[in-house]
Amino acid sequence: MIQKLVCFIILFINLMICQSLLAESLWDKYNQEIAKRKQQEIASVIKKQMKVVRSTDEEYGLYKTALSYYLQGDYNESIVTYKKLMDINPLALDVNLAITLPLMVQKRWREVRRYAERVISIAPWNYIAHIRLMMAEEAMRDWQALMSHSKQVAIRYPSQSGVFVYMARAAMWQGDVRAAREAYSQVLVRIPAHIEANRYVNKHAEIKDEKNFLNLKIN
Amino acid sequence: MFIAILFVSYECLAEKTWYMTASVNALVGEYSESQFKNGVTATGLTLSADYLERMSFLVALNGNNIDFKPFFSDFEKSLDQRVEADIKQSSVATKFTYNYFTNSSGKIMSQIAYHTVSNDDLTKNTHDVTVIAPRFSYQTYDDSLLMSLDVSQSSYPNDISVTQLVPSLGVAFNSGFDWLDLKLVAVKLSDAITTSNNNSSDVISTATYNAFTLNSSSQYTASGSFSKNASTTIFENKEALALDLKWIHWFGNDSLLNVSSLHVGYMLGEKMFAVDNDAMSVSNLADLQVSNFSVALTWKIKRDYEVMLLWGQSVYKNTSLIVTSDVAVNDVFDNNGTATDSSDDIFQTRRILQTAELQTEKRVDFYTQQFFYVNFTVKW
Repeated sequence: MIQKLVCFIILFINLMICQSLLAESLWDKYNQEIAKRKQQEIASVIKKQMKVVRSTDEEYGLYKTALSYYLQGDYNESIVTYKKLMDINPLALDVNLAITLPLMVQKRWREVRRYAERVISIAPWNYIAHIRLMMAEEAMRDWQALMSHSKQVAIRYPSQSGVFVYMARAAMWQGDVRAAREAYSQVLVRIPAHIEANRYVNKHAEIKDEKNFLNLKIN
Repeated sequence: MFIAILFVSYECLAEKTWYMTASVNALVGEYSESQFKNGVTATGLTLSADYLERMSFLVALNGNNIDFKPFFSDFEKSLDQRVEADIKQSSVATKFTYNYFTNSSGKIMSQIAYHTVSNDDLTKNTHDVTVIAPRFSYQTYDDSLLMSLDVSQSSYPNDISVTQLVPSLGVAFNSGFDWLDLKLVAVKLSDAITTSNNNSSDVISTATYNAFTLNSSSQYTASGSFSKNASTTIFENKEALALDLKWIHWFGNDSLLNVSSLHVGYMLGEKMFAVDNDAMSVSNLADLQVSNFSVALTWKIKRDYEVMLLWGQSVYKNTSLIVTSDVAVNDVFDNNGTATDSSDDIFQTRRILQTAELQTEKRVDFYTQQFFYVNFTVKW
């Protein structure tokens, strides 16, 4: 019995390893290598200029250092450096936005939400901050918050298709097919070839378009 | 500038950094075909606080009551002495988790859990149990793979210790809508346990069903304070191995009855004195679990509430020694097992010590437990 169990587990682990190796194709490796070289080049240039930059402007030097760490894939050091910058200047919106990048790589969505909300508290309709906040809300599956949030952003940025995509996903996950179809239709007005929107609209072709079903009103 | 900094500082304080969760649960279980037990009821409360994604604290309080049958044998029935053999139990468990985020593809979670269990088992063999359980896990950022190693060291009275190793592997598939969890539970009991100190006891033990004693010199040894309603669980093996399988499916938006997720659990092998650091429970009573099947549904109500309904069935196989003889009814034995005096007091006559030659019977209790579990969670 025990031997059978152990054999089963070993076979399962082997299967998982093989699957992950196959998933990483040759082209994936090639692209990663190219990206890595570019990042290294950027990092070496920044490193050479770092002394000059930091001696003239410490804040800017740290900003470039944090960015450099991020580009090299050292996300933890990047976050630490961005936090040092926040101590120097807590009002720096670009720092509060930039720190969300390494945090998003590490899927630390609560922290992404924290810094995005901090930016919004200073600059209420900063588009990038709202997009990152919506990304966090989607990752945390907070569909109610994403729905009401995306509606408010859509009123301020009606030309942006991305906002309607988030709105559609929020509606879809809440089971509101009409609202989801309406939001995806709005996406198709802006980007007719949008794959996700086309797929959903075609799937629910029986539902008629209703004007202003989303009922976008300023809160 | 100063005012602006003050404003931002205030805003930072107002930022949401703590995520709280509270849940209450209740369990009702019935033992069918058991020679000793009728049923079980349990209630619990769990509170947890997460500081962003970095760390979390958890406290779980649990209370349960195991309802035993009034007689374990015909002999005891002939005495017509009903005994309150039920066991009331309470437990407190705490857990601290710290997450380290790597620069590569996942996070490392280090965890330490501590359990303490107390009950009114008169043998005191399952009372005052403590468990310390560290765990190390690795989870990929895309939530597709989770590997962990859980080690639990349980300390029971009479220097009995139980070591449990749980390596586990969890994988996501079907675009993250499904999760399969494989858990190997290996349990080893410590050697050389005696309960000879019971010789000096004048107290008549009444509910010894859950008493367990081990002795390394023989395959199994049962001893302890045999008495009225005496039954001592024995283990023919000191090791147990089980495989826990769990499948979770998350539904999309168009699920029947708005179900959020479906959980199916199945256990193969044998499990005893198991520690579950996900459910924050310790199986301190001497039951040998030989199979388990459970199915659960969860509903998400609005944003911050969740309800789980679970039905399960476990099969246990306990080998016990029970007193079947009336040899001691009219005799009182001293500490050497010599008959000394007669007494009409049934309790006095049952002051029987291990040296007395009682007639016991090895009885296998093979029974099924069906249970229904409800959990309500609120987040803020």
